Amino acid sequence: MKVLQLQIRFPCKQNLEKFRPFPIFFRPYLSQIAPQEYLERINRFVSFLDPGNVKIATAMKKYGLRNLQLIADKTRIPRPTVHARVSRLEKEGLLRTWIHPNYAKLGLVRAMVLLTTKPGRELLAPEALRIPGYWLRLIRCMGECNGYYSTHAIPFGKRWDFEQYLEKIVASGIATRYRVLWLGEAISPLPDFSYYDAMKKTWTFDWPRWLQELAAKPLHTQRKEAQLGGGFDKKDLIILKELVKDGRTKLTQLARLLDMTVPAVKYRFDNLERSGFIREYVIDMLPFAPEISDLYEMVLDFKTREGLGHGERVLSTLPIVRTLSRVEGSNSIAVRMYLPRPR
Amino acid sequence: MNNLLTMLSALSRTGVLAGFTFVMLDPMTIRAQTFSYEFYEDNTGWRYDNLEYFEQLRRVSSAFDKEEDIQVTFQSSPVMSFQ
Repeated sequence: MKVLQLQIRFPCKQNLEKFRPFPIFFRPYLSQIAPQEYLERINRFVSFLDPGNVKIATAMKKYGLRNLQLIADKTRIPRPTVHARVSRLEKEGLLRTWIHPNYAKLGLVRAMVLLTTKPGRELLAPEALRIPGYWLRLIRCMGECNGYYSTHAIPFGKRWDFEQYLEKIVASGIATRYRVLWLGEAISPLPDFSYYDAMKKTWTFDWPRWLQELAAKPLHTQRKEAQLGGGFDKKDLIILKELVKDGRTKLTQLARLLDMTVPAVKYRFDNLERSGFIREYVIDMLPFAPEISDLYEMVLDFKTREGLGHGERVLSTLPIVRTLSRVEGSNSIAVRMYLPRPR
Repeated sequence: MNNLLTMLSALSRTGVLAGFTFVMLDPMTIRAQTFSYEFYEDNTGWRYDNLEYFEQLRRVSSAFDKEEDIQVTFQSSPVMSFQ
């Protein structure tokens, strides 16, 4: 296919190695889905959101991803059952786990870019965004910006250079404009299953309550800001990037990859965890079937700093929120929302 | 989405929000990778070279302009991770 040929002919060598398209991209493209298959997929998805799996996912978020014995103890579900359930969810692609590294400690800062592409240049735009190599996500978007949404983790001192690069994309005629927001560290809460009735398999969307909570007078609390810098080396980075791919990567796998002993890898892993390089364990479990849901990126501008802090706390409890990141130098927050379409 | 916009609109009216914007993302087109660990060297830190990127951009852009008959590809079927 020409699209793929274009990518192969002009690869960013460094990127190609790490390029992780979802497996679906390698399957034949479907232009039709039979109604029965469509409904079966939704049913299959919903059947996995049972009380046992909800309990396990909630415990993994609280106690960590790696020690399933601990999860079994905390949930009072036998260990073989926990293991079998987690394995099945992972195999079915319904549960993915990873970490959010502390980018500030690594000397990086995240950027969110909205690139409005020039008509006819849509295929070229993602290639242009990939060139600096520091990209994290590339997604086609529609709405305020018709083009590409992307996130990047850029070295601290190179923010201005990166903005210059985006200017160059516009000057090259690939895009008509861009918007860049510099983001703080991300938070990815587990959907609040207190809104979910696992027996009836239904979610309650309590909009009036959420509105009331968001509009409530904020409390004066201070958020801990990330510390800059920290001691790490390339081997630490390799451990972290493996955990970004899969939060349950085994120490034996890491030891093989780094050509080190398991105790030496464990020492490094414990040190990374203790020093705050592993900022958050993420349990990626979709609350609603993708077939009937939409994905949005919103930027909410709060009037005050206190309102921002309060809003962040309330939003992180909503089942429709996937990820939140504060926008640096403003009272704004970028929120990834995932919403079922109305019937 | 309508209820969400209703809620955000109410928050703007009551002065909690100064404004909001949003884009819809197409999950079918998500491409993801880890942070760029390979650009880090223990002695020199992170490598970033705009001149090199400008040159790559020029080459990719010029090659795209010469490309003829780029095939249109349609996709469907969802992915399972939207973060």
